[in-house]
Amino acid sequence: MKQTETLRIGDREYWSRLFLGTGKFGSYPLMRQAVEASGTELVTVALRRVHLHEAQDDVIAHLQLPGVHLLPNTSGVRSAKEAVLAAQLARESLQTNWLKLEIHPDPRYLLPDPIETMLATEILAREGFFVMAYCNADPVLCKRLEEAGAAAVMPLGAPIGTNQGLQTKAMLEIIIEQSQVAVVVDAGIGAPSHAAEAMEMGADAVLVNTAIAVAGDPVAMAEAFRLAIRSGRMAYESRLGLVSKQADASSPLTAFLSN
Amino acid sequence: MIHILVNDDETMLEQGCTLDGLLRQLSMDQLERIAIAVNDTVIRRSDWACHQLNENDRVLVIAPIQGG
Repeated sequence: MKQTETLRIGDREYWSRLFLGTGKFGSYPLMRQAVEASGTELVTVALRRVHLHEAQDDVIAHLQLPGVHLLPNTSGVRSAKEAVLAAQLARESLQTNWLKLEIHPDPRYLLPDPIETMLATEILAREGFFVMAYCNADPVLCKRLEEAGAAAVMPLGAPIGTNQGLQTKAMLEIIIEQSQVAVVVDAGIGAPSHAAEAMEMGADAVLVNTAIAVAGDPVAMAEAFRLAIRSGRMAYESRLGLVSKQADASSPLTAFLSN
Repeated sequence: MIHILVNDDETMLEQGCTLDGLLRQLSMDQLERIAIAVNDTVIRRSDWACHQLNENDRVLVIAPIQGG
């Protein structure tokens, strides 16, 4: 079977271009099976205050699989200052410099705050974090995040958890064309076809959570995404044909019965 | 006794209590992947045994959970 190119981000190389969020799965065993079926090598986790006097269940124990790395996120923070503290706590808790930076103070659309995200990226990159910055699909912002030291930009396809697909497609195309760091399309990807579309456009990877976790069969859906992303990437590397308005015959146009 | 806040819950401690002592008091000393900040500064695990808590300290204890 033909291999697709590997993806380099920070100090790691990935075979799989599917990054998986671990939220919303009905149970830990289901989450683990979906992680395995997806073929992912990078899974996100969140951080929360420990509720005192309540039994703690260790999600990490269920994510310890060969070749699977953890990507803590900063979900829940509202400012760069809070994000920096969350990142430092994540590093202490999980012993990783990798971070999905997400700062979305607005609870209705969960749209990322570009100014706070920019400030936090500058600080955290200086502190040695591999910052993967969740951001709006704004080509100018993505370049600024790159200059600030982001290891990858994560522009959204649509608001988190909406399954609306690549609503920002025209801007994503510009971001992909211009970026010198990995572009990981995050949020809004609701079906394997959306993921394949992102990969055919040349996105370096996609991050999927809700579409897999809330599917009728999350494990089969994880495999469907794995196949779609591999397929989309292979199509991109094979170079798609040009789109044109006028027909271009696939069969010879010589007359059949007479000249 | 001193008063501190642990994740916004008021907690009373013996004078001179360390972070390790606090975790034992809260039955949280067996948790592997918690991380702690005191007054917004992360205290590394290796320093928990010697970090003494003071009146009105704000202690934040976090742990990983599922998330996207």
